[in-house]
Amino acid sequence: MKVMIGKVEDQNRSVLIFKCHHALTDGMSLIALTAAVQDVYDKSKLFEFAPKLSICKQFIIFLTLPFTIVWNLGIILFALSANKNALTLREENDTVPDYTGEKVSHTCEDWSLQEMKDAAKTYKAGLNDFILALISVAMHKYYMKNSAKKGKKVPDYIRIGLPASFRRLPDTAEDLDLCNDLSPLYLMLTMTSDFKLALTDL
Amino acid sequence: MDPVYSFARPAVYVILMVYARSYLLATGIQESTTSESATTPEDEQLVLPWTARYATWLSLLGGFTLFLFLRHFFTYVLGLSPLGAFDHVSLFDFAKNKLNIIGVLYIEGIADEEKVLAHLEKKMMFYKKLRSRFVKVFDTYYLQEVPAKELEVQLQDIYVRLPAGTLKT
Repeated sequence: MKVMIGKVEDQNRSVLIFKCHHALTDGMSLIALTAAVQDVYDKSKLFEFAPKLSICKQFIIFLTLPFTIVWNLGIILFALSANKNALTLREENDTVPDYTGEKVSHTCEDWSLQEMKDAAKTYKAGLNDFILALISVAMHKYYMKNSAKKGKKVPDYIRIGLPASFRRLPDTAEDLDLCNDLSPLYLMLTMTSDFKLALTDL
Repeated sequence: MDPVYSFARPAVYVILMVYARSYLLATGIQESTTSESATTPEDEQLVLPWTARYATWLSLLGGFTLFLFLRHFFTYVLGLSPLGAFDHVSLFDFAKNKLNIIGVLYIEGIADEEKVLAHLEKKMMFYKKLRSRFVKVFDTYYLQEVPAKELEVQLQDIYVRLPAGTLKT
């Protein structure tokens, strides 16, 4: 871990740089840690990641958890055995082109923070959804470029794995547990050239 | 961390459990065949003692007990806190591509930077995990709390005030 602070030259501005290894903490703990280093820890000012479920829904999830795990494992194994649209495995005649290692990026229009907030409300999307939508368009660009050379069509979607945290924020700063507590989330990412369409889909 | 070696400790547990199961079965069979009571024709059928009958479950229980014992031994006797499963996953990185989380805040000019650093240090050092370092024992990483005197020296490298002119517009 390292914390650095310094003044920007020719400006009345400072920069606070924080760096730490992922083994110490994950993003969820880091949000709480940011609040914990303030004088007053106010949980209400932090946004919750974990959905607030009723006891009934929690009980149903608890009961169906084994089936959910088996189902998700089944999907993963099916994806691996079908060898289709998986990024790491492919067949010669598959629609996925050979990966060249070329880096492709995409940026949405130069939106202000307020515009992003408005879009987040419209599409009910979070920051992660924005990033995923950008990846979706960037991957579409990549496929368009590389598939066209080999006469292959662009895949409709790709399967991706995301780390998701379902922990609650601690009530007090003392309760904060710095750790990595993740669940792999399996997602179909639509390949599209339209950023807003990708965002809506997510 | 080399991922190949991370299988060493589970492999040792499996080998120990298989050995324990074989031992319980072998001694049970030996005991039942050499028993003095097995003289009548009815007793010729092999009757295993309960240790051999439940050898698999006993060896599994033994393995789990050993795991818990070692975990508590490392925690309370050696003062080494075990890491969570996903903490371990984060250590599967490479020297050239460290799995670091970086945050940059561009804020209004701070007059007294030392005061801010001292405040952050005081608040962050409340957490044991941030006062600890990684220690590798038997191919597994643990967290060991750094002694106070050593920590004081190390904190000078952790909380750094950048000299003027380092950050340019």
